[in-house]
Amino acid sequence: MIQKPEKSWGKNSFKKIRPLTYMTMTERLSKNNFFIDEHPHIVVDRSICAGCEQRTCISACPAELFVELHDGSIGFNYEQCLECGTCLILCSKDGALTWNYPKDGRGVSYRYG
Amino acid sequence: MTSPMYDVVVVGAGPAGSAAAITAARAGARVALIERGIYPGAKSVYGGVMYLKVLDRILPKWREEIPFERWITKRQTMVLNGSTSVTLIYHDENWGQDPYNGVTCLRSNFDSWLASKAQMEGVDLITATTVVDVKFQKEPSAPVLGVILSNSDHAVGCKSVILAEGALSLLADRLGLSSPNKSQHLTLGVKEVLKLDAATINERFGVTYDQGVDIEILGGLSPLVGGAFLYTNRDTISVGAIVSLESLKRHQVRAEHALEQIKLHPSIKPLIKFSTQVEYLAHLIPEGGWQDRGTLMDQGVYVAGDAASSTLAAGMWLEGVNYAIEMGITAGEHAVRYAKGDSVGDASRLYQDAVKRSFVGKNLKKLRYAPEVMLSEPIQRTLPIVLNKSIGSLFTVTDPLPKPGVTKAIFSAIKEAHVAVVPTVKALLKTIWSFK
Ligand SMILES: Cc1cc2nc3c(=O)[nH]c(=O)nc-3n(C[C@H](O)[C@H](O)[C@H](O)COP(=O)(O)OP(=O)(O)OC[C@H]3O[C@@H](n4cnc5c(N)ncnc54)[C@H](O)[C@@H]3O)c2cc1C
Ligand code: SF4
Ligand code: SF4
Repeated sequence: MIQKPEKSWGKNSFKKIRPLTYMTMTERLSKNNFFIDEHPHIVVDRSICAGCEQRTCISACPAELFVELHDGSIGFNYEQCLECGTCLILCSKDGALTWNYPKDGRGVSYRYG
Repeated sequence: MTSPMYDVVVVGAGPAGSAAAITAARAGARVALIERGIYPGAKSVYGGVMYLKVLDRILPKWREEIPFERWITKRQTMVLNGSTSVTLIYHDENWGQDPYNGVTCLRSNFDSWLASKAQMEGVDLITATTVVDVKFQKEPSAPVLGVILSNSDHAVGCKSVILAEGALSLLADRLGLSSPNKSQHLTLGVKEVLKLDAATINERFGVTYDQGVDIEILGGLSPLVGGAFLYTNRDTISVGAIVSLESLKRHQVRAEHALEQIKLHPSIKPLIKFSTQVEYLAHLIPEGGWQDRGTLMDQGVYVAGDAASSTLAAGMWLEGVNYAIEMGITAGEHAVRYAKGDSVGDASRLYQDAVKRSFVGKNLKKLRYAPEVMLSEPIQRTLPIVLNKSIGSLFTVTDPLPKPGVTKAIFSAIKEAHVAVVPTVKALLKTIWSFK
């Protein structure tokens, strides 16, 4: 874990959330137990995403699995999915996401819960 | 059909599913409990405190048996604003003894324990298996044919199905049983489990080894709306934020950054200092309550627990596990009667009425306006400012100026929040009314 800056709370910081840099998503997810499925349980139809302006999935996915690639298309990585369903609920385009639960006990396995 | 025949198949071994399976099996049914995780609890996420008096009905010895972390003896509500906070603390030493009140448990332990109780009643627990569909036949007296599993093309035959699949109710959606408004009232919970040795937890929170603290947090998430929590386990702390999906969409701000902001607040930071994060979790919560219950039963398919929006999410109350268990018990009883053809009259009506009569229906109905009010602007933005500023100015010594007095302190705090007085007072009255 990267050392966090000591003074991290400013007077007005409650007004706007600043991205906090001291823990990356990779670090945040690194202790989780994932039993990865070889078949993606969520499939993104990037041709539909091409016409999407909101792209809510990018900021809403709590595991930061959606990214905008250099060419403006959507990149998605299912492997560290927490199976919360946020992307499915918030996606603004019908049919962009084919969303299933992973099969055969695959996916995340929480040790604490 | 090749697979064995069951009276009742329960989808999901969460609190609702396992409670339903226990009740159905005791009523003499052949029951299968199917769970997609490799063990019950593998996919479960919650904050951390359960209220289990509801188990007295089905497992009277639960107090000696549950895999608990700490019995809650202190409940706190903390309202954050900027770098200040106002906290209400209720401490009751008696909560640390039988009959207890709240208890922290880890879901991986609890869900496995409850499902094992179902197994002891003869239930077939099938893990690492996802139910992907329910099959029907054209036979009005027995419309359910069975369920389809992800790892086989054959249907597992049964007469009745209980969907206890949790907040993201894909099967209930697919069968058209969910309320169309459910998705508008979903919130996202993100949580971290932080490792901290038990002695440090005891000292920091002022508790003995098996006693714990429950802190509900309001404010500090802006611009997102929602709440946060911190609970003590034996040698871990659960800290999380719950934010409305609607606000996530509107502000395009990350939920885990809001949680980070809570963790860095000067009132929280010292509590979790020197801890190490050991797990990061995310899950949806249905906050629509009674209005979003959807169709509770149709053609032999019962819906129970979070799949039917049974969680009570209203400010200082975040109770889902006890509500899910109660609804599971009710569904179990009714599904057996249906499967055996013993229901008198309209089975769907009977289940609906039974849920309505239980504490699930009564409380959700009584508090049906509370979730919306809790997520409204006056509570989310105005209350934290006004409370912190007015208490702050009362507690700040102003010598040589005269003291402001209570009314002046409140009015100038309202002014500082840039809101009008009349609507604020109205909103507060509305809040009180919604909890009446
Ligand atoms: C962040 C957060 C904090 C919370 N805090 C609290 C709290 O402090 N106290 C409290 O009482 N409640 C709390 N709750 C609410 C509580 O977690 C839920 O109300 C409760 O878990 C609902 O139980 P359930 O059995 O209905 O659903 P779940 O617990 O969600 O269980 C559903 C089960 O079904 C399985 N499943 C789903 N689909 C399938 C399928 N197709 N095939 C097979 N299996 C399937 C899942 O893997 C899961 O095991 C919280 C929730 C969240 C998200
Ligand atoms: S919100 Fe939906 S359609 Fe838009 S980019 Fe994301 S996945 Fe694609
Ligand atoms: S289900 Fe949740 S964690 Fe998985 S991709 Fe969607 S938003 Fe991200």
